Parts: sequence; C-alpha cells; structure tokens
Amino acid sequence: MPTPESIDNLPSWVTAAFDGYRTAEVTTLTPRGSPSTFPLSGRWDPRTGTFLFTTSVGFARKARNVRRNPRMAILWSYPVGSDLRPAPVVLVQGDGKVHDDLAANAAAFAGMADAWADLQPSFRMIWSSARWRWWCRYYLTRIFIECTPRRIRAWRDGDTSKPPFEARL
Amino acid sequence: MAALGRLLARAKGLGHAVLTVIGADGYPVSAPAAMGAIEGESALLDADETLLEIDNRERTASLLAHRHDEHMSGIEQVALQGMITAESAGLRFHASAGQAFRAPKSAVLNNFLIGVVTRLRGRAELRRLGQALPDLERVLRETTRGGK
Repeated sequence: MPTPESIDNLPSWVTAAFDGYRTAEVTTLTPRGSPSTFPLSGRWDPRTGTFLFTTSVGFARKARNVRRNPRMAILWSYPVGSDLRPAPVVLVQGDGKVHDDLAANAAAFAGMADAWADLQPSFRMIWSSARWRWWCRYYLTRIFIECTPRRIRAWRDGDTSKPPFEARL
Repeated sequence: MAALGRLLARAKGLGHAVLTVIGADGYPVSAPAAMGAIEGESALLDADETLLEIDNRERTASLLAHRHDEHMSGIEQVALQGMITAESAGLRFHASAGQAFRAPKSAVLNNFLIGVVTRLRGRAELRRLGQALPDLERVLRETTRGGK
C-alpha cells in the first residue's frame, strides 16, 4: 500500500472532479447516528483546503446534523456536467463546521451566486429578478457547511475495486 | 409497506445510486451502488464491499439515488434509510424510511414552490437560531451588485 499523500498535494484529475461535477453526495449523521445522504452543490477552496456547501435555512436538517456530529462524507461520483473521461470517483471524509451567522452569510452568498446562476438557469431566474428574490428570500438565506478533509480517496477511472490514490491530513 | 418498495423501484429507475454506511472510525463512507432486484421493501445492491467495510453485521445505511442534467434541470432524487446485510448474491438494503423529490419541469412552478416550502420551514429554523431574516436587497446594494 503506498504511503498516503498530503491533502495539499492533490493531483489535477482529483481537483477537476471537485470543480467539474455539478453535485456531490453529502452524508451527515442523524441524531440516532444513522447516515443521511443528499446531493448538494459545493465548491473546493484550494487556498484553505476546505469544501464549502450551502443549504437554505428552509432545508437546515443537514446543518443541524453537522452541529451535533461533525463527521461527514462527500462523494463525487456523478459526472454529469463535466467532460472528464474517464470520470473519477472521489471520496472525502472530514469534519464539518456550520457557519450560521445569516447576515454574514448573505454577503458571502451574494459574492458566489452569479457563478451559481451561470450553471443553473432556474436559479438565474430567481437571482436576476427582485420579485423572485423576495419570493424566495428564505431559499436565498443560506447556512454554510465547511468541511475540512481528513482523508481523501480517489479512483481515476471510477473503479473503486482498484487501489485508490489516497491523501490524509 | 408498499410505499417503500415503490420508492426503491423509483430509485432504481434513476440509474445512479450511492450507498453509505458508518466506517470503523465513525466517519460515513460512501460508494456508488448498482441496484438489482427489488423484493418487498428491500433491494439487492452491487457496491464495493471492501471500501464499505462490509462484514457479517447488520448495519445502518442510507441509499441515495438522484439525477439531473448539466444545467441542473430535471432534478429528481430518492433518499432512503435502512439497514444493510451481506448475502451471497451481494448486499441487501432493507428500507425503513424514505422520501422522494422531483422538480417540476416548469422553472416558474419550481421556483414558486421553492419559495413556499422554504418560507414554511425557514421560519421555524430562524426561531431556532434566534436570528432575523437578512435584508438581501440591502446586502446586494452594499456589495454594489443589485442583481443581474
């Protein structure tokens, strides 16, 4: 088994999945300790080495889960929207931190919403109209979940039966 | 319950599924899963048993199936909770709860419903957090944007 790499030194085909896949499958732990998995759009910040996901204040259960138990997993396995061939599968396990200062989040979200609108026409409809922004004001009020990775395993051709590239914090 | 069997069938139809269990270190571990035959409230799965640290124990698990297109249209997802057991034919997921969501084809209807649902749920969360709804329009003016 090769020695795990540093998370600061991820190969480009791994970060290409972070940047190219539209959604990741994000798992948090329920109060009973069971996994709960939902697709989320997020982004990788290479400067901080963390992953940032946002969820509406109206869909906050996953944030409550992370507050209670920070252990989470993120799987990139759905390559729709990316032109990566072969399509990698990447599994990140790490610790989540919830940022729920809603006023501060609103300013941060305003800075990232244009990029989101470029990817998702139905969101552009909301974001580009003051009336829709008002109607969806609770949807646009976001809670941030930041995940610091502890372990990353990645399979370049998506075949998880093969030995993975592995990195640890 | 027939409803869980229907959810499993709907999940299978989505074509992309992910199975998640809790690893020995306490972190969730997820792997892509191919869904096979459905029997009652359970489904046979083909997933990497080594990655998922599968042994003879019955373990709590989640099964998510979802799809969307490159523009994030046509979003559909089925999220199930249950238990996983190993069989000679593969892994068997026994569903105990689940929910499904399919976005309406009309973006106007979709966004209308998003506004309704998040307002209903968001008010309760704001009370939990003890915070007021931020003034997004003021934030946009201060960040000199004002919407596209």
